[in-house]
Parts: sequence; C-alpha cells; structure tokens
Amino acid sequence: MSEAREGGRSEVAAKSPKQTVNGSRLILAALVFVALAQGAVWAVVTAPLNGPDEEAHAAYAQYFAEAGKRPSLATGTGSLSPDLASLLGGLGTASLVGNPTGRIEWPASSAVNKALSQLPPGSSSTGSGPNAAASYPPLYYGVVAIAYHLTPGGKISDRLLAMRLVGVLLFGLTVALVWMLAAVVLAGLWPRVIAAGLVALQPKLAFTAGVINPDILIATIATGFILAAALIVCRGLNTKRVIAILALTAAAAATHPRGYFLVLPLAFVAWYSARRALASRDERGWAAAANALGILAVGALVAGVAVLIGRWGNSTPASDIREFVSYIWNFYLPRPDFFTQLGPDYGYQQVFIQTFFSGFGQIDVLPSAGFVNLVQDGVMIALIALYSTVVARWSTVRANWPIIVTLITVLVSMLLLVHLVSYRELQNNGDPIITGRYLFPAVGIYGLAAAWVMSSLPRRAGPVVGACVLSISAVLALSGIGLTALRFYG
Amino acid sequence: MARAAAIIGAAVATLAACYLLTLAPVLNAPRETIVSTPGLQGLNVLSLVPLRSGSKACTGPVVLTPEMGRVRYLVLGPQVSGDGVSVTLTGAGYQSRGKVVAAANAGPNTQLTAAFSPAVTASAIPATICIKPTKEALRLVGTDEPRSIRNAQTTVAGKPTAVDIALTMLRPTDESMRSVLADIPARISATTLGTLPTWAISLLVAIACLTALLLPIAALAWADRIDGKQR
Repeated sequence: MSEAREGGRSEVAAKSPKQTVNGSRLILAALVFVALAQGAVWAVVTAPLNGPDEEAHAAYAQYFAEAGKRPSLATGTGSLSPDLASLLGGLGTASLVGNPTGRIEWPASSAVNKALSQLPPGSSSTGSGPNAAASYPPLYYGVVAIAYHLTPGGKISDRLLAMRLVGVLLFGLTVALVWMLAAVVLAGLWPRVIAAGLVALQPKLAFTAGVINPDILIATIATGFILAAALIVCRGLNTKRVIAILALTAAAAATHPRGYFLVLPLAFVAWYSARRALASRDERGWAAAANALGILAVGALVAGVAVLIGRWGNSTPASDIREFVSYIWNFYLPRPDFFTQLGPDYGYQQVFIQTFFSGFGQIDVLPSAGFVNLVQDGVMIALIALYSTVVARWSTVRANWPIIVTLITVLVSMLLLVHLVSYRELQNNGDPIITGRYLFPAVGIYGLAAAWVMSSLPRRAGPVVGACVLSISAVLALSGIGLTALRFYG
Repeated sequence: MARAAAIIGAAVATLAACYLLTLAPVLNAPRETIVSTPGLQGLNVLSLVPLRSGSKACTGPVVLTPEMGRVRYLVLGPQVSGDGVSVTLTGAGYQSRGKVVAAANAGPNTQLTAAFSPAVTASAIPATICIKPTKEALRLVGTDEPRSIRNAQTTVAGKPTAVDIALTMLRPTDESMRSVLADIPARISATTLGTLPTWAISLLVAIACLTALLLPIAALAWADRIDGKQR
C-alpha cells in the first residue's frame, strides 16, 4: 500500500516497459483462466438446481426470459414450468436437499430426456409463481435470460447450464477487477497475483459462480465499485469514474436488496472527494464544514440504525438495542452469562469459516468439523498477521487512510446490512439467514488484505509465503469440487 | 532463478503436506460406493410398508446398471437379521436373486444389504426389485412425502401403497474414493442429458485441477521475476 497516496500511481507501474505490461497481461489472463476453469467445473459438478435456492432463481430466470416479466411472489399457475418440473422430478434433484444419503438419479436420464421431448410446445412459459425469489430486482435474471435465449436447441438442461455459465464469466470478470484493484492499491506485480489468485481459488465463490444465483453478480458489481472508489480516492475524480461508481451502485440495487449497502461507501467517497476538492482550493471554512457534515452523517446513520432496531424489536427501544448489541456480541465472541441468546447458536464460525469456504449444494455439502477447525485456525493466524502488519506499518496506514477507510466502510456497511436483516429475521422466524456467500461483495478486500500482509514481509519471504497460501487455496478449491461430486454422484 | 525455485519448492512442499495429511487417507481408504438411490427415506415423514411372512413388496421400475452389485433397504426396528428375506431383481431378459450379506443398525432401524448376481450386462435395464420375508413379518421403511418421492412406487401383492421404500444401489465391493471419482464424469454426462460427453467433462476437470495447482504458482514466480528485474 506504499504508493497509494492521492494522485499517486505505482512506481513500478509508472516505469513499466512494454515487456512488463505484456507479462502482466499474460499473468492476468492465466489467473482469469484459472477462475473460468474452476467455475465451469462447478457448473457441471453441482447437480442441476442444487445451488442455494437455485430452483426459485432458475424458475424466475426462465419465466423472465419467456414472458418478459417477473413471476409472482404468492400467486400464479405454478412455481415451476413443466420442463423444469420434469427435470427436477426425473433426476430426483429436489429430494437431495437435506438428505445426505440421496444421490442424483443419473440412471434415469434417458427417461427424463424422453419425458422432456413429449412436453407440449409453450410449456416453458408457465412457471408464473408463486416464486420465493420474485421480490428480487430483475437485473441478474435479465442477464441470464440472454444466455437462455442463445442456447442452441432450447433443451431445458442446456439452458440451465448456459445460465450457470453466465456466472462463470462474471467470476472471471471479478478476478480481473481484483487484479486491477490491487494494481491501484499495492506496489509490485506479485502481490496482485496473490490478491487475484486467492479470489480465483476461493472455493465457495467459484461454486456460487457455477450455479444460478444473483450473488455472483453482486460480487462482481461490488468489486467494480471498490475499484472505482479506489481510483477516485487514490487518483482523483473524473467523469468516467463518477459515472462508473454511480452506475455500479444503481446496478447493485437493481440486482438484490443486499446491494443497497454500497450507498454508504458511495456517501463516504462523495464526502471525501468534496472535502479534498475544498481543501485543495484552500477553502478552510468549507473543508471544516465538510468535516462537520461527515460527523453529522455518521451520527444520523447510528440514529437511523437505532430507530430501525427499535422498530423491528419486540420490546422497548432501549431493550431492543441492548438485544441487538448482545446478538452482535454473541455472533462474534463467546457468550457471557448476562447476554441472552437470540436464535440458534450461529455465528462467526458458521458464516466466516464454514459457509465462506464451504457449504456447497444447498449449504448441505460440508467438510468434517476437524477440517473446518483447521481452516478456522488458518484464518485466525491470517487475522493475527493482518493486525501485526497494521501495527508494524502504522505510518503507511495513516498516510493512506482514505483508501483504508473506504475499504473499511464497504466492509462495515455490508456487515451492518446483513446483521440488521438477520436480526429482523431472528425476531420474525428465528432464522439467522446470514451465510458465507453474503460476504462475497467484499471478496476483493479479502484478496487485497492477504496480498498486503504478504507484501509487508521481507522481500524474499513474501512470495514464498504467498506460494504456500495459494497452494492451500488450490487444495481447498479442489477438495470442495471432489466433496460435491461424491455427494451428488458417488 | 533461485527465487523461482524457492517459490515452486514452497508450493510443492505445501501441496505434498496437504496431500499426505488430509487427502491421501481419504482418497485411498475403502468405502461403500453408492451407485444410485432409487428410493429415499423421507426427510420429515417416514412411512412403513408392512409385510407378513410370505407377502411380497415390489418397487416400480428401477434402472439397473452393470456397476451395481448390492441393494440396500431399510427395515423398522434395530437388530433385524434379515434371515429368510428373499430379494429378486427382474427386468427384460434379466433376473437375479439377492442374499442378505450385511445387517447394520441405522438409528432406530436396520439397514439390510443384499448382494445379487449375476451382474447386469446391458448398459441400463429397467427392473423391479421385490422383497419377500419368508420367516417372519417385517416393516420396510420409506416415505410418501412429495419432495422425497422418486420413481420407485412400491406395491404389495400387486396393490399400490403410495410409498417409496428406501433403496440404495451399491457396487459389489467397497472401493477407494479415488476409483469412485473416476466414474463420476460419466454420471455427470448422463445428467446433462447427453449434451456434454464424458470425455469433455474429464478434460474440463483435468484442466481445472492442473490450472489450479500450477498456474497461480507459475504466475507468482513470473511476477516476482519481473518485479526483481525492475529493482
């Protein structure tokens, strides 16, 4: 992070001869290829319609592609069109959910093929609802509808695969965006390989890319947003960057309600840009006013959150806020006796470890508890290393506070939104709802933080440690694929 | 060159350690190998098919393939021996008889596993599996919950029961995970309804494995070399 000062650019990049640029492009292409290969394998290994809520997302996408509108949340002619229902029933994929002894009925594929060929024309357009995903905005479904229509032959199994491959392309794009983000924030080429490589080998992200689910599009959009924000904060405003960051914020909101979390970092970037512009004109009075406005905005945010908690809780506002605080504490830390438990025993390990690195299929393909503990120990070591790096390089952190605060704002905003929604769901039906893939909008920060820690090690040690970490990630990625293949087929 | 060697050496050592400590024991240990599950026990609803001694329960069409050599079913109650239970598999031009070779408690129930021969020689035969206790009555476990119903509708004495009995088709012997993984591309190919041939899936998996293991490390070594030249 040494070169990410305002208006600055990586010294290495500034001096890059053409050969270096070509080498850099080839390396990026290699990492994107790794991501595409991982995503493509997940798209074929995951049993049809066995991604998280994939049945509802696929039905939404099909109906959107066929009828040009969203299905209904509560009414309609059927949740699934006859061809989706035939595939689902014939291969027995619905019955696999939560039933670890079940396997996909691949020997029945000939019968399924025959049943599909006997369906009457127009049977693809009848899944008008009820659909549990119907309340989601249509952007993702509009994107996959293109693949749906472009699929040669029009067989439903091929169309599902084509729609899954859209996510794989988005995964490749996400890796490229992380590479560009690392180029803005970190010095040197090899830390970029760590940042983008860790994202390309993130097993749960690759899995999410290989199924029909809007979460991969949110991850791509949010990574693009972070890149645009980093460019604005590190190199200044220009028209392209402003249009990009506004369009990406709007796109996130048009993809999923969770996409609204980008509004808060957008507000920070806007505030910081205004403050910097005023400071550069030596308008101290206005700059001080901007600072005061920033403090007021943070206060308004805290008050707004408190009001929401008070509205969603079942008691007085004061006790609801106390309950929310105890919920957050219990989520991340061991529960003291004086805190009540809201909902099931579900927290950091389940979200940040178990379902961030695994939890494939419908979150029911999980490695052994011993394996999860091993990964948790590794993550704990990484967090200690991050903390140590912050302490050791405090002067660098202070000098680069705008980009660091931008990244922290993205993280905090994302976590605040999912915790608020989780708190509300716990009040309503006892379901904590949060899962590891909800963290993917910040996956670029995950890669960036790891790369920064390694680039802060002595010059000779950094790439060697990076090689070890990338290798462990590759093992995690391939183990996930093997585990899932065995769960559905072996 | 020395730096590249250090990067590659670190990667190889890490991969070797991961393989030896976590993957090798799992990959090489023999395990029961499920080929298919034409009937499931329900997730929330267990249903029973009671059979008196001498009465026979038969499934609807179950696709048999050459890989199958054992059939497993579930009986209510612990420690059921399975003695005197006859299992027959009948399809077009194919008939075999099964013999209970293993009984194991599974919660409150007993899993009975019957080995059958001869093996199926055609690529796939729709067949009926019939279970008939000859010594004492037993109750087969299955389900009638809609989400878990598959294509094996059970009949007793020719009358439909609206219940699927839990059935698992296994390979004749236990095999290592490594050998099971080799069979999976063909099964994935079947679920794409023939769009992706087995060789294409095998190739894709091979590319994904090799690129995940090799490309990031090669990229890291190369990037480090470029960085080194610019210093």
